[in-house]
Parts: sequence; C-alpha cells; structure tokens
Amino acid sequence: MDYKTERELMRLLHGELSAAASKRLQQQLQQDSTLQEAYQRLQRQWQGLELPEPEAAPPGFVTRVVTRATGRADEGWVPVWWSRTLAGRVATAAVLAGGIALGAMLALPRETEAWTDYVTTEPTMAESYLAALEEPELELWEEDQP
Amino acid sequence: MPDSDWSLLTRTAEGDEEAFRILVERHQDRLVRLCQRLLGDREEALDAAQEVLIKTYRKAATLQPKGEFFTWLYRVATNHCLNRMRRRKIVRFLPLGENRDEVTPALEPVDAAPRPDASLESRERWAATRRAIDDLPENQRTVLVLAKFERLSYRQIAETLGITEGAVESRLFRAMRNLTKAQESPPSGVSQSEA
Repeated sequence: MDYKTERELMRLLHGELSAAASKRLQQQLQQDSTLQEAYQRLQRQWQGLELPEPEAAPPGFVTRVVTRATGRADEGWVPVWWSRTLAGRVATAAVLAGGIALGAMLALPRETEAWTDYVTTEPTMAESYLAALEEPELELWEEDQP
Repeated sequence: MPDSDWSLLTRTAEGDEEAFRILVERHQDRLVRLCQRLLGDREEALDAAQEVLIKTYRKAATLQPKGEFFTWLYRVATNHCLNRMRRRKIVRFLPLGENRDEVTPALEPVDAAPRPDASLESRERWAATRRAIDDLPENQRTVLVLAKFERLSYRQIAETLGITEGAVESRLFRAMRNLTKAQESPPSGVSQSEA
C-alpha cells in the first residue's frame, strides 16, 4: 500500500476526509480486501489506545482561581503585614523602627561594672560550703587538746 | 442566550469578577483534564490549570478575540504543560542504563491509584497505552493526545499548536507508524521512534 493511501485511511478514520473522498474510499474498501484489512488494523490500533478518564476539577477550584487571580497573590512573595496604602506602609515602617530602637536601648550596657564586682566578690554556694567544712573543724580539735 | 467566552473575557478585563468566574466554571473541567492527560499527574495538572487561568485573567485586557476561545485556551495550556514537561525532563534526567521503571514518564496513567472499579484488563491496557505514548517524540505525542483523547479536529489541533493542518496530519501519521512498530517489536526496541 502506498503512502498516500495509508494517509487517506487515517483521515477517513479521523473523519477528516471530504464527503466525496470519503465515499470514494469506502467504495474502494468494499472492493479491496487488503485495503479493508489495513483499515481494520488501523481502527483496532486507534481504538486500543485507552487511558482512564481524568477526574473533573475539584469543588472549590473556581473560588481558588478567582481569589488568586483577583487578589494578585501570585505576583510574588508579599509579607502578610505589607499594606497596600501609603498610610499603612508608613505606620508599619514606624512600628518597625520603634521596635528596633527599643531593642537597641535594651541591649545597651548599663552599670555593668557594679554588677560584675558583685558577681566576682561574692563566693558561690559551693565555695561557702567547702570553707565551712574544712577550717573550723581543725580549730576545734586543737582547742580540745589538753 | 449565554455570553460568549470572548465577551466574558472583555468584561473580565473591565474588572467584572463575576464574568471571570463564569469563564472559569465553563472551562475548568476540560482544562484540568487536558493538563492531566499531558502531564500525567493530578496535582501538577491542577496547578498548571490554575496558572493558565490566572495568566488568562492578567492578559484579558491585551487579548484580541480571534477564533474560538477554547482553542486559544488550549494553546496556552498545551504550551504551559509542554514547558513543565521539559523542565521535569531536565530535573529527572537519569544516565543511560538506569531502570526505566524508576523514571516517572511524561504520560503516566492519569490516575496512578488503582481504581476499584477498573478491571485488571483495563489497567493493563492503560499501562500499555501509556508506555506506547511515552515513547513517542514530544511533537507526535501532543498531537496524538489532542486528537485521540481531546477529540479535536485537525484544524483545531493546528490552531492550538500554531502549525498547519498538514503538519498535524504528518505528525499523527508518524505517531501511528511508531505505535505499530512498538507493537511489533519487543519492549527493549520501542524507543527507536522516527521523529
């Protein structure tokens, strides 16, 4: 079978032939068993291609799309606190600046030396305990001697 | 008489949210199905369909009504899915000699989870179809999916892909020949498709 006839058979199968060409080829098919066999093989092959029917869009899909499209949420990452109005942005910036200033003030060293002295001069609980255990006991023993 | 898709798009461009909602409702199922058939993954298909619709919303003001709306939408969706498939191919590249079964194919079964109502025979047929379509070159595969599963005419496929009807016919013809070869040869020789 030639290339042209093969292509015509495919067009017939896909309903792409003109009415006249289709009628002519149908007549040929009835007369030519080889051609008919080739057409049936093509038909079987085409019909044999099967995939499961995909599911439709899930419920809520429309709302999700409309919300995203109209809300412009897809334009890139935008922080949740970012305001669209100028006043909102100024207020947000002011709050942020205030927070940074407060944080910086709290982090400043104040009366550090006095606090350090207290920590370094005062003995720890363990040190006091050891001192109480060691020295007085020796003195008492010496005093008890005749 | 219901609004035409193009008039709904015009209203969308003017800020009519309801018009866009109707447009999405009208095309969502067909669009999701197309993306699912091309991508083979449900979640990826939903993402792709959503991105296509959002793109439509944003471009609404610049679009000129020409031909059928769904053909235009199919064109955008097909290109979007093809780009995703190309990106996926790069990401999932494996050297030669790897087990093919471990690579997620571009057109895997549309529903990977076994359906309780599907017979073993059906699932085997789906798997065979999937393998056969996977082995086709990208341009033949797209045309075949649009003709066979989306039931588009040659003219509609040509409009969708921006090619001539003759090119559609040639690609389909080569796809059918490759499918015949694949059926005749053992599985190891399937990948020798004529581009």
